[in-house]
Amino acid sequence: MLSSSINAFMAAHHKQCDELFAQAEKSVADGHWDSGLQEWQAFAEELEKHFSREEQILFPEFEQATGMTSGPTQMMRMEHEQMRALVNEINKAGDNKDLDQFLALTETLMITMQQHNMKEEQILYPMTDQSLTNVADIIERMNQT
Amino acid sequence: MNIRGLSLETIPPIFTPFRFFLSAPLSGILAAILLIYSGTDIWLTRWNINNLALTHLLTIGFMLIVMLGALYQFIPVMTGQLIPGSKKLASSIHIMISLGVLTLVTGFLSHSRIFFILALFFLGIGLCLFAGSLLPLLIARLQNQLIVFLLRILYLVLMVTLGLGLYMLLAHAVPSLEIDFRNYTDLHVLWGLAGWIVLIIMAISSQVIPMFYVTPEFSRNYLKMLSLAILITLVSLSLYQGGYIKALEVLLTLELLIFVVYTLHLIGQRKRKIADVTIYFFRLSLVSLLVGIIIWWLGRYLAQQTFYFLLAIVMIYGLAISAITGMLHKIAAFLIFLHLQKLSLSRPTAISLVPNMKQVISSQNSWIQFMLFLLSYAFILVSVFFPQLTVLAGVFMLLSFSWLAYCLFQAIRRYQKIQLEILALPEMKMSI
Repeated sequence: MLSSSINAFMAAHHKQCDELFAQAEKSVADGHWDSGLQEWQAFAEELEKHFSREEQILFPEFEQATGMTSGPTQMMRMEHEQMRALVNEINKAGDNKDLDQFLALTETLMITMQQHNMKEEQILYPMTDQSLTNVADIIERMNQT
Repeated sequence: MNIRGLSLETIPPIFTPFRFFLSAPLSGILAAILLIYSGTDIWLTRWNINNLALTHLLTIGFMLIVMLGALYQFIPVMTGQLIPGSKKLASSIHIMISLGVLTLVTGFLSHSRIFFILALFFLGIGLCLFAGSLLPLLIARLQNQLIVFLLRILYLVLMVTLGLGLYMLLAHAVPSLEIDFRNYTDLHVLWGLAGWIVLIIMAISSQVIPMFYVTPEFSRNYLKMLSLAILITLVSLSLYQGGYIKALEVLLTLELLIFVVYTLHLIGQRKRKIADVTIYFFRLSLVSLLVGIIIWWLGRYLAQQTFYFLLAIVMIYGLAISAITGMLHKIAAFLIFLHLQKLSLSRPTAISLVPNMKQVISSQNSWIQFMLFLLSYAFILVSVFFPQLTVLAGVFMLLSFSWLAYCLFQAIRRYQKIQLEILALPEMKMSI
């Protein structure tokens, strides 16, 4: 049974990403590089899936419905780029097995991600739930991505 | 909700929160110097003027100031709206409250009326400006979020605490206004310790613990009811005299216990298990509240002064200042990263210059902070029983606040240096 609001659906996915993140970070911190990096890839893929759900489906729908093309969604796209840059750097630290660098960057990504999620859950998703008429359809399409 | 009024771009300039964060440890340093200077005298009576001065350096000079800076930063993130009049007003409020705490402390130490009058003027204006600028946001029809609810209760409780304080200050400034200081002080302390401090920790925990440590969310209804129950209990305790007092005290104790046990339980369930210094600060804070509750019930068997001192130390230094110190390390590093990364977006080659959070404040420096804080806290508590250790306690407190000041100042210096380096790079025109 899918969530009835975009906020609930997307917030649950944030939580899922957080859990994958925590697992990968913990494994690496404990020195289990092999399993840790596999878990890290699983997280990075899920995060990318989340971004594309927004960039390909949710944001265009919102922009079309409200005519707001240069406002909040543009800001969120920029923050996605910031997080992608951090993920790339973490991948490099993983390749070099540089533990301090890996953990310093995951901490930075974690906080960046959380403040981004907070803005989405507190402001942007409620805006989309309010302004879009085809919420169920959008959730269904995002779920299939 | 009018969606067009909301913006996700509303981050205040870095110095809006930082001016508060940078000045707060300086009040802590002054408090530590006062503790060293007073020596064993500090433990003579709770009415000792050095004691009053020290307490207000910590509560207004440190806690309130950090809280204001944090509100300026987080209210826009949570609500999509800046606190009205943000930049200029924020600096005026900061200056007024800082002058207010300095004149208040000088007033206590010199017992000179002129300083009380000045303190009343500065604090009165500073607090009115702050209260007035926040009010429209808090009464606006915001989303029905837990944090907004907690902030509204926090606001009410803070206003009562400060209102009682200002009223006593007025009585100091105008001696003909004879008031029962003991009664008003007890109320002021009750609202400050069991209300304001507890609600700050509740508000921070409800946001930060699930996010940073990947724990289950706090139950929304449950924290709303709990904070409302605390407010109602505090009002009842203030209005009723006599028979009901014991029952209300039991009720308040239960409310606080539920909060501590519930929060510690959530922390225990966290999925993000890597060693992180802030989680130790949080645990120390919550355990302090637990110890505070125990002191509240068992401390009556101690000498009355000892009881008051222990309670104040555990609630102010242990519960509030520990969590705030831990959070400052994280927030400061993050804000610097955030602002530099934002600056580098339009300069593609600049991204390699942006430091990650641990390069702004290293893990090692945060651990040193925790150890210094822990030592100072332990020595302050022990010196209540062994006053000969007071000076040593003061030295550790001085080291802890100085270390915090050092970490924050070196972080902002680094920000300024890298900002210049980034600005020197060629800018790419963006279509946004």
